[in-house]
Amino acid sequence: MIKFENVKVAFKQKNGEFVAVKDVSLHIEAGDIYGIVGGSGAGKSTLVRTINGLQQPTQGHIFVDNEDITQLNNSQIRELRKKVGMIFQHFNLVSRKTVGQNIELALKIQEYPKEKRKARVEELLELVGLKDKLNAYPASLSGGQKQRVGIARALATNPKILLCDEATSALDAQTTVEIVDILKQINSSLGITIVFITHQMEVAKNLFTKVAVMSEGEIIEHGTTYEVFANPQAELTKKLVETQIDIPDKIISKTQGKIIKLTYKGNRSVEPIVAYANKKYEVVLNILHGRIEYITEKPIGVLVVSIIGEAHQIDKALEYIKANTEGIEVIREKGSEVA
Amino acid sequence: MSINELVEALWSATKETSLMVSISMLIAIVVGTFLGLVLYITASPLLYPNKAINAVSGLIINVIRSIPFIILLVLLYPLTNLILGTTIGATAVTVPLTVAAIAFLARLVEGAFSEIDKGVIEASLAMGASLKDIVVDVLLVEALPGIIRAITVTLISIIGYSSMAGTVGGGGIGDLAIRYGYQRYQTDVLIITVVILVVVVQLIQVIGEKAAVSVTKK
Repeated sequence: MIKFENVKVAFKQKNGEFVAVKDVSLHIEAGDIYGIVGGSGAGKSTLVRTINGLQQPTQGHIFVDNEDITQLNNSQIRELRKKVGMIFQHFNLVSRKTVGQNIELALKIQEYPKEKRKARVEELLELVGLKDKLNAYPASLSGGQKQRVGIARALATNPKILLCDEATSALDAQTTVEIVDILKQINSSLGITIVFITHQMEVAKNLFTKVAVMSEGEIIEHGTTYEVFANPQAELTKKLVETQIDIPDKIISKTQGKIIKLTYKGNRSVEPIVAYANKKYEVVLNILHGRIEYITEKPIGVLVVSIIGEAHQIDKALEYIKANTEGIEVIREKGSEVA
Repeated sequence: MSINELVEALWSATKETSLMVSISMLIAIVVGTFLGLVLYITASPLLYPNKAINAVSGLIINVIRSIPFIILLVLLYPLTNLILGTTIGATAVTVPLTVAAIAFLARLVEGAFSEIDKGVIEASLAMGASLKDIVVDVLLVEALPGIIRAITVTLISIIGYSSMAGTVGGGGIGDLAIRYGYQRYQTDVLIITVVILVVVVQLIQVIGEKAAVSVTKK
């Protein structure tokens, strides 16, 4: 659906040039919810804007629906934008137009037949659950409602692709979940390919089917969200997806024995392993902290346990655990006896 | 001057001022807004940046705005003569007044456009909007409160400028104040005309602000 081939975007500056996107090649398939994550200044926004021609690449080619869009003239670009809707972090609605008029503007721009516009506006508002807000002005809406209007507006002309530029970054957690659900629903019911850029890992874990991690204008890692998050390769990715478990120092200093962190993935469950280890070897395993996260509905679990016993029993127990989990990491070798 | 004479003088002065100011403002609203639009569009990296057009129109506006009105009035004699066939009277003053008002308003309107959230313009570009779509459905719509404020400020300044119409026999309230109140030491006339001007300006400001607020949907 979207294919980047060696795309570079550079901006001229007083002292030379600033390269926002360096040699990016990426293939986004139809029906994907493709996330591009990375810190600010990574080049995500610039990259996503090359898809609808808001940003022309300095080098390389971008194919949308098998058409090289770097070769289009102005009127062809307008045609392209009919196929590519976009929503924004700050919604970008016309403040002096009502919800209905904002959506109608998208229809007018794309020369949608005048007599059918009213019905289409109502249909779109129904889709995003804002039927009663037809005549409201954006200022009277909450952030989540404004983004729903943004979505309705972006979908007005039945695009094949929806670009989302930090679309949930200005919203609170609860509203973010609502918007994420709407986008998932749109993706599955209308089959629209979604390209979503964000720095919010929560959104990435819940929404994206595939993800690319971007840093300093380059894509450093990409794949299905589960693969990338469960098994991050690049340093930055590890940092981004780090399953943070913070146990207060006080607790650690009071705990006896060795402290280890276990990671398990997929449908393998770790609790029975801890229980078996307790039974099989002469050790006491004590769970200090645990968390299961769901990435694209598949679990990743992290468990922090302390282990007390004789040294060779501990080694045996650890070996057993190691064989049955994805990862094992020693947080502290041995507790002070004073505890 | 008897009361009757004074009332009559005030009445005809008011009519003269209204005529001069309304004609020049009407033209200025159309031309000045257009020029403001040109200034904004040619300076905006999102729309049609054009350094040459921007610099030339900006320079002309700055030159006009830097010339004191009374000098502009004299400098524009040839133009006034060409358009109206005369350089004296209230109608003749409308030419330099219009020129001054256009330059004044154009700059203020440009400012009103630049207040618009760039994101809204970007969003309309992403929808495939043409320049015409953006002007009609985004720029003029979103900038309306700012344009109303710009018109208000320009109108008040133009009323002030119109007091110099007397130099070429244009009359008006300001001219009445200068000739009778100042040059002939008729303090009562001076006070009355000043009070009228204060009330008129105050009214325009209040109405202009009310109008601007009533169309703001933020």
